[in-house]
Amino acid sequence: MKRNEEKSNRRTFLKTGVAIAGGVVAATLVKPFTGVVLATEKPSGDHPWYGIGIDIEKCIGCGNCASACKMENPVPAEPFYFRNWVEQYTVKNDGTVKVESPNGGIGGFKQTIPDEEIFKSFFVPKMCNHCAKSPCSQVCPVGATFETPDGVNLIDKSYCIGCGYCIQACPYGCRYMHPTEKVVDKCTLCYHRIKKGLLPACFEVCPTNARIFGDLNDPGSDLVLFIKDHSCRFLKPHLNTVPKLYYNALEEEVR
Amino acid sequence: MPDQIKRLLVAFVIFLAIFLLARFLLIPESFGELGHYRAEAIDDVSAYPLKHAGSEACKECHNDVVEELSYGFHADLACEGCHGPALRHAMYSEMADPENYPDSLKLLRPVERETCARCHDLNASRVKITGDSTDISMVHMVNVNEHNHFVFDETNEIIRCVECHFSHSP
Amino acid sequence: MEHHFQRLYEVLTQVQGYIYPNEVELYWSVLIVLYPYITGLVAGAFILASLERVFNVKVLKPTYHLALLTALAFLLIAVMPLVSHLGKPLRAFEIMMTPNPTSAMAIFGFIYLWYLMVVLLLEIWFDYRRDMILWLQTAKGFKRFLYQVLTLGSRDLSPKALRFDDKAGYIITIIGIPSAFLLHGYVGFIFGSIKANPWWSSVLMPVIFLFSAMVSGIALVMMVYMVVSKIRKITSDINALDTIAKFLFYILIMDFALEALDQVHRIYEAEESFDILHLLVNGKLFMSMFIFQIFLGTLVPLATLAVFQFYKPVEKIRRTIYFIISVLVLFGIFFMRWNVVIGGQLFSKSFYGFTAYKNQFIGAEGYLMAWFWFLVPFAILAFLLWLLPPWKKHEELEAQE
Repeated sequence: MKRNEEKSNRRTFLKTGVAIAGGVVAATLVKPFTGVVLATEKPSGDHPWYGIGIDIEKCIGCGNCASACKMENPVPAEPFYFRNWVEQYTVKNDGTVKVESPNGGIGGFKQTIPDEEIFKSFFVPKMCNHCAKSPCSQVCPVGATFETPDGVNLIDKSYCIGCGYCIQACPYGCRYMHPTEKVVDKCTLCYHRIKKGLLPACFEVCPTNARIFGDLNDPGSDLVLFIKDHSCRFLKPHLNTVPKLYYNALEEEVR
Repeated sequence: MPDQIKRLLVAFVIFLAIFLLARFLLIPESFGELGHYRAEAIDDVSAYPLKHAGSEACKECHNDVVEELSYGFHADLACEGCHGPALRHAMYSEMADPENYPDSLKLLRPVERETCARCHDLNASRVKITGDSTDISMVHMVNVNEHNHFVFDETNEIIRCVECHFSHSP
Repeated sequence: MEHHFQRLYEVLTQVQGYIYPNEVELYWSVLIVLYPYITGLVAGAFILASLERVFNVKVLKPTYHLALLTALAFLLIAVMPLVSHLGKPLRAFEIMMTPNPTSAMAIFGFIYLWYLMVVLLLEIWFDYRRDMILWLQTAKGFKRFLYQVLTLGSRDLSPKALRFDDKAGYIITIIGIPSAFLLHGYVGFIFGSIKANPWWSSVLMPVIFLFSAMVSGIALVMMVYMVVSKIRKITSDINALDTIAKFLFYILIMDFALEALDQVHRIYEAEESFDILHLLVNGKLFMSMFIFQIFLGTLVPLATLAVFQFYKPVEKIRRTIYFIISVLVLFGIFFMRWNVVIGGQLFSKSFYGFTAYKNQFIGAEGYLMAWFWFLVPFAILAFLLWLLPPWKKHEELEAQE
């Protein structure tokens, strides 16, 4: 008799357990299904698809862009954290290449190599390329970094766990771990500005119009015309990250 | 079914129930709407505070400067490139007392040599050599360490660029 | 924070050439070196145990249960270096709730859970169920409570139930072998799939990680067996040791061959990243790669074990040498992980320069923390050996019809 009691107790327990589990499963299915969206196609229609153009022939290395970014956005002031920066390339006559970026270019540059030894030199502003097939959002384990429908790559700071995988995956070095927030940070293309019809801060303060911002979906935008009129290249195209940062006059030495 | 399997199954079902409950409670509401991320994050980022105003905002009040600028090479420069982010200044200056103007609203007036040197110092990287070997550059350049490097005897300070060059229309 | 920046300024003075400004700080520290090391030990120890269970290598019987318990002790700790390294450890549950299907790291939660629950815990449960029920009869206090909980109330000692235990253990071990491969192979894939980093991005990476894991796991079991025997004041079975050493030799050859292939291929193709990597290996990684990993960790054990195939010295000397070899191998494989993880971050992705890795003893990611996470599993192992002593297991009953 005791055995039968045990058996029926066990049976009731199992039944209740399964009922509870089944109810929870049903409830979770009612919630939105997590789809996987890989942004490989340029979305058509009236969605903007933001992109960036940088004209290396026009950049004079004043560093306004780098310092404006740190003033507009909460980026730590120390020289280890940059959402954008400027590099100075000096190719000497003997073929060696010297690259420097003192404090990211904030405060300008000095040229220490004498003119006679210089074969070529130029400035290259760098920032997040807002790749269409970004490796950073591919590797994020929790979905804290992503591409918006309008083509801007953002970080969800309240969801990021700070594992740093995206920093390893970015080929362009534009991500960093915020020292106090302990989550990853990077250029947002001043999303808070562009959504209000303003320019990103770095584009705003450039004195020579070396930086062009625009909508790749709009055939009349400054950016599309810039790409049409100039011979533009990406950084590290062989990695197929499909960047949206078009450089004019990008030299071979630039990485 | 063997006794061991029954017991293990019970343990497993309990674990699964806890896991599903956790999923139900812990996954954020808007997750998955637009992709594998929390859709509300886009709104979070859009709500960040603005700091730069844009030159148009400056020109609304400072008509005199607009006129000065129109005479020279600096006509198309962004005001905030030298003067720093100006949104708060633009928004609250009207209400401020001109006699007792609060420091927190004042903008930079960078008149030091270093400021001008950022763009105008002699630097080979600013020279673009065209096909017919004509050097062109976006800016006029001087060697900041040598050009009119006059030192005042009393203060031992170097004369500033703005003493001779008018910053808004150089 | 000031202290943190002070260290970074010091690193800045040691930068060679040009690095992207954000690359000054190395984000994946010694704790990230420790994680693949520990999961490797787990996978390797389990595979050694499976040799006895599935492939009937009877001579390894003395080490079978020890290997399983060692694997469990290390697996319980494996996740800790990762979680303690996170910027936001309290959000770690998000990996289980919203794992990104395109991210190798997201699989971690499920593979880890699968391996822990289905493979290790179940295997050990089926293996020890009978013994726990029998020990329950004489145990007292805390131990008795633990046995009551762990048996899940099961009291069935019939021959049918025991046969079922045996069969279940066998099947789980078979499932466990590919699971062990997956547990450590995916770690290799985490690195091998990063196209941005040419030191990591390689098809061979998961395979190399796996074979070096097996090597380290086998060496660990060998070492633990000798130490535990010493503590229990009994002689370790020399035949078991000889067989373990033989397997160590074979897998070490495979591991060395794979690593050599990776490097030869890299040197031969000499594509874009080769120049900076060449400087890396001959400069900052010289000590940890050539001396620690290759010479001490691979060549010395390989040569010794090769000699043993032809000439075996007397038992006493053999034991000592086996112990030394197992320590050397454990040392060398740790530095293999170091060279991959730290080495991959020392050079700039611009291929124009190097940064430096400065770490301290104290601190959330310091060496003391790393040693702590490495030593805690031994304490857990001691506890498991107290709770489930392999040498006190009851004699196997004759199979009854």
